[in-house]
Amino acid sequence: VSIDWARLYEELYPKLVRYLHHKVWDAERARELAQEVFVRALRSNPDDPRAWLFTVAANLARDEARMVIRRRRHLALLRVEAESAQPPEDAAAALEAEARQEAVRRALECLTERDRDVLLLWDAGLSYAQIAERTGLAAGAVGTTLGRARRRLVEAHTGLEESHAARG
Amino acid sequence: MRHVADGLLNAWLDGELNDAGEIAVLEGHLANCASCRARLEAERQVRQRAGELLSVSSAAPLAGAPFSELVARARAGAEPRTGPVGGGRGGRWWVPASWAASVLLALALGWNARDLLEGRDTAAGNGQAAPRRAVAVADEVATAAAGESGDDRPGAGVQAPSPSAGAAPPVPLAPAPVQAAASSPEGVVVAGAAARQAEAVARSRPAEAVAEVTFQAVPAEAVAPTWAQLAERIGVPVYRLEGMQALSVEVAGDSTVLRSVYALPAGGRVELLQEIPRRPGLAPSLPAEARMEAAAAMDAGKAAGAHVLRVERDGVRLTLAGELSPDELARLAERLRSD
Repeated sequence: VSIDWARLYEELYPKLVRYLHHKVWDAERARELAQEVFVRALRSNPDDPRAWLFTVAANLARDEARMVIRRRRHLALLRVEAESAQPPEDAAAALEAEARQEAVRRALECLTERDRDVLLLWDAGLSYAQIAERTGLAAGAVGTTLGRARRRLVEAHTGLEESHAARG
Repeated sequence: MRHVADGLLNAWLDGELNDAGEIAVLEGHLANCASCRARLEAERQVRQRAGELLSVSSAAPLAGAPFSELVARARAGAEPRTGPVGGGRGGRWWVPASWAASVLLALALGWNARDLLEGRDTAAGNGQAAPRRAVAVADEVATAAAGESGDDRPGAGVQAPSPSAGAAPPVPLAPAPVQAAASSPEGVVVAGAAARQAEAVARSRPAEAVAEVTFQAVPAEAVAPTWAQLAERIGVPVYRLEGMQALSVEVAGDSTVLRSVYALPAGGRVELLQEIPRRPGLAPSLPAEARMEAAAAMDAGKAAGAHVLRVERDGVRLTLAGELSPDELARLAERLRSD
């Protein structure tokens, strides 16, 4: 099987970054991991690249989560260095973006793991068949699960916003 | 008549209904059922809103490394050596991307990367640095020796691509016209575009150009506050090469190794790796050792002029790696200072 990896990289790299970012919540790290996934893929040359790429991405993200507390300390360290070089208006915009991101992160945490996984795979542009393959769901169950996951995300996000507004 | 199931409505919204008969039944029902039309509309709004939320919170992909660089990394292989590193765990470890990009790329083990590169220098690159970097990588890969493909596979039974041996002829290389980043007075550049550009410049010089090394001094006060800050935040003394300008300083993802990269005035660059002990006096952790091994993997690149020097200062394990002779590395080691 000959796979055009260069083309796949072009097509799937942004999707993998997006997928990974919703799992590790660090943009730079998501990019690094997405590239690492491709490096591994080039070594292994899997037959079914799409499913393989997202499976490995999910594994890396899980490994990542295990180290997350230790890492945060140092990310904070690096971020301070980077931010000191930023003009103030950028910093304000960055803060705002971070707050928006945090709200979505917390909303995602309200979902069950399976719902979240299905949702993020959909968001990354996978088809129902590919999602089914990745998650072990029956193909016919993807629509139901996905519909529920999207609804819960929106509801959780709205709920968080409201409680935030009530407090603030 | 039965109403349409939620799953079916969502499949329809997602363009995942492929069966013409099924579609006809669903659309027929929707035409006659106000309640299902309302549900469809609700699902549509939820779908749109969920997509918006996930877009708001997603990272801009920015430019990934040029594909050719990934190819070089894949070929260089962050393969664990069975034995010493894992301490019997037979461990599979991997070098996080930022490490692999520099440490392993320096190995520049050969492949037919040139074929892959052709017509692709601007692939995945919307940043300014990307195409230039692609050229630099092409040069490194082209001058490399034959490599061995890695074996890091998460699933069983997958076939590794067969490496094609033999070095391709060097790609003609125009000097990269980036000066600003390389001469930046900033002592510590963290994961910034400037650092990447400066790295690209450093890489674009062929290794053969490094004959005699002279060191360019930078005003100490330009660097010192930042180094001291760094040491304070990490909580251990930070080693650096005195009088030289760091292109970048990074902490490994798992916080076990600090790496700083310096440009050599004559071209090329040198990396300083410092183990960050969990607690003073403790034996190095496994990942730290693995990282040091990664640097040591540059031994394999000796043919291309890369060497590794390991030293210990006040119980801190340090590794210097670069396209320098052992003598030059030893001279460089005399410049090690800590804050």
